[in-house]
Amino acid sequence: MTGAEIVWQCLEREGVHTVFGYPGGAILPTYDALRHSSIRHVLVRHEQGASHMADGYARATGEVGVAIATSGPGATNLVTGIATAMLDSSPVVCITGQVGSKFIGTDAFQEIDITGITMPITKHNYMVTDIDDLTRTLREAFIIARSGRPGPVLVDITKDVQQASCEFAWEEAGPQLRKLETWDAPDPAQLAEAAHLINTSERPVILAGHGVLLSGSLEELRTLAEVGDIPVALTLLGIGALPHFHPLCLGMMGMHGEAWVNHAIQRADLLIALGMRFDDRVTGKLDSYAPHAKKIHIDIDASEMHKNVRADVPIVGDLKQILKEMLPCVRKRKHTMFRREIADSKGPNAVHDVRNLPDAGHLYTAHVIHDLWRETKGEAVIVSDVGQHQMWEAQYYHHTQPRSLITSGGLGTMGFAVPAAIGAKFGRPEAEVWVVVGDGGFQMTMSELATIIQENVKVNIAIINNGYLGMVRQWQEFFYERNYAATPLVNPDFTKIAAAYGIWTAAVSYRNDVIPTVRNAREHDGPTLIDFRVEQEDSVYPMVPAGAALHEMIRRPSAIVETAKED
Amino acid sequence: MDMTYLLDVANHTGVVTRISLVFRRHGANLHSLSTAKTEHAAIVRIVVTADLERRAADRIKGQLAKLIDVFRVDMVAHEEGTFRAFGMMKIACTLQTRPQILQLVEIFRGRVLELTPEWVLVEITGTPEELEGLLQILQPYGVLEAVSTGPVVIRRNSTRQPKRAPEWELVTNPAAVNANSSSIATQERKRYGTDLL
Repeated sequence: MTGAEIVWQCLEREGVHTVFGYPGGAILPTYDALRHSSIRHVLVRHEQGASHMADGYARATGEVGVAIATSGPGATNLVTGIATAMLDSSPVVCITGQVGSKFIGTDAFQEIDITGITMPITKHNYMVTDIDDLTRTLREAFIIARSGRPGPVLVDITKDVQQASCEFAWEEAGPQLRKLETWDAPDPAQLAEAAHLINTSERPVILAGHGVLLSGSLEELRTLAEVGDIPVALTLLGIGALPHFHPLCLGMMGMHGEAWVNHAIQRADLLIALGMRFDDRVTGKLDSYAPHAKKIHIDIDASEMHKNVRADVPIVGDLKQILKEMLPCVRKRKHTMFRREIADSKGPNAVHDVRNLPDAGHLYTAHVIHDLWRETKGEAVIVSDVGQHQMWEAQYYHHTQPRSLITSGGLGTMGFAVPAAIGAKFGRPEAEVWVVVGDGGFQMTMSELATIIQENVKVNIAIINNGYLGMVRQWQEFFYERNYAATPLVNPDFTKIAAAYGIWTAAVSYRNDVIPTVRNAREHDGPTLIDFRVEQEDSVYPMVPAGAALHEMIRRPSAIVETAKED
Repeated sequence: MDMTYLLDVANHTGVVTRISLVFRRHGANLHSLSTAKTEHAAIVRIVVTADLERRAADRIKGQLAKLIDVFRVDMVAHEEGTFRAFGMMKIACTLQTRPQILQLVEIFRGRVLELTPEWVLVEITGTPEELEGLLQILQPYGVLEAVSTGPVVIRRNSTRQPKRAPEWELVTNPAAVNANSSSIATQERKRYGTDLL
């Protein structure tokens, strides 16, 4: 069997159905062998799209996403997508062609040291120059990508290895990896200490992150919250870990979290951090973060312990297993006082005000997201890009299911949404997939509209078009004296672009049109694109300025609310 | 603070780059990096020294331990290990100063490798401090050239058995990661429905 055929054989045995890629010289032998494989290949328009699609596929399904590219520029184009997957712990395997072994190091045509380039942004990477290593390497790549804290793995395969032949021996080519689970069984003493803190605290808050979804600990999280009567705040990537309408669910915390969520954290006497990493967008200024709280930190990655926030009880390991063992020790409690305090602090100052604004001629993004949520009954898989619309989505679309929000949190990659949504749709064909993307981010990867057409993928794209790089503009407004340097955008007519691709399209400028248009898009049998022309200088509130304490929020000026009420 | 890291790593291409990248990411300037075979062919011992703040040093340790090629990483304080480095120094001399130089080298348990009327070349094996000490004491005579390796280290309280093979281990439990998401979604739907909307 040739190396190229072995690649497909290995992918099939790893359970891969769909790969996202772009051919080229150094990967041609592998593409040639594709005809012997049952795997579906999705032709992208730019390799960045391939890595984002693999990432979106992985996040939607929990299975490994696969991207394929050629050497040189094909490989370097994957880089942004690999880094995105790395920062958000997404299991992705990237396969790149490499020039023939004997050309390596000669600056051959389309030769680039992609393993060197991707070392800091992959969980691990390989260059295969000997066909006898190929099967074992691919097996190891999948194990590494999906084990422990998931992450991207890149396998660079020289052209001569793809062309060479050897016996395909899956069983014999056993992985040679060190023990990857670097933790031991949970220490009973630590579990007891954690349970004791939980049982004796008066103002506990659970901080639930992406790890809850990755480890499938939803039941355990809910049980812990319900038994201990503990409110749950979510990170951006933790959204969906507890349904929004669960009485104990506070919603998103951090820089653009609702005020009462951040206040609850700041006033807590115990934080129970589950599968999250105290990112700066979540903590604000570290010196003043949750000053009265003891911290229990449970995460699969030992290097996260004490990295940003000193944990009183650090527990490293598989969250599901730890919670299962800890739950019997957690006593049934009622935190009536604390919960009433939180409920009272919701009050009139919630951002929810905005969505109740009457239609005063302005279309606010809050309207769009809220109506999209109502119309899709909160059941769609939303893939959001990066910026204001991403935060509004997190605030106004109420997710009730895990893996129903896919977004680039850690790296904050603009251009992520459109390709990631394509990947997500391939992973979950039965799901209704909506892209929520800004006019800036959309133009970074809108070449993938062609992929949507070529593969006939039913995704719905909602462009939140405010004519600005909105989040940057907001920072300029707040912190740079409204010096809107390089943030206004001159945009093409997005509906015409969609029409050129043969995509069903509409533009919306009034609130009354939102729901009917969304409905039409949903009913349309094929991909759709809606250009929502929203208020240009709206800002996301509340906002914790970078470097400020978590409770020092910039609030929505009341002027807007009052103006609207007059109508 | 001077930090010494001891790493047992897989004998793979690029492993030194992976390790040095972790330090570089934190802006750490390495004082020394030595890498050599160990008693087991599959394991390479790398010793890195760098001047780091405690917090960064701990983060680096955690991030080194995550690397797939790293079996074990320890930060070793001086009292926890036996440190040895090797140095060579070429010292200018005259007929008058030569006996003094040779005497000093003797005191430091150095050894003369070459001797000419103008200079002596000495070698020394010892702790990095001893190497530095000899260099300082010879400074007044004129140091023409001085080089040294970083330390290699053996842990004092090492409990490792000799000739132990690395633990290749197949990871058989990726189940947690691959929890079936759609079934979870179904459960959620059943429990909460959409009537809350």
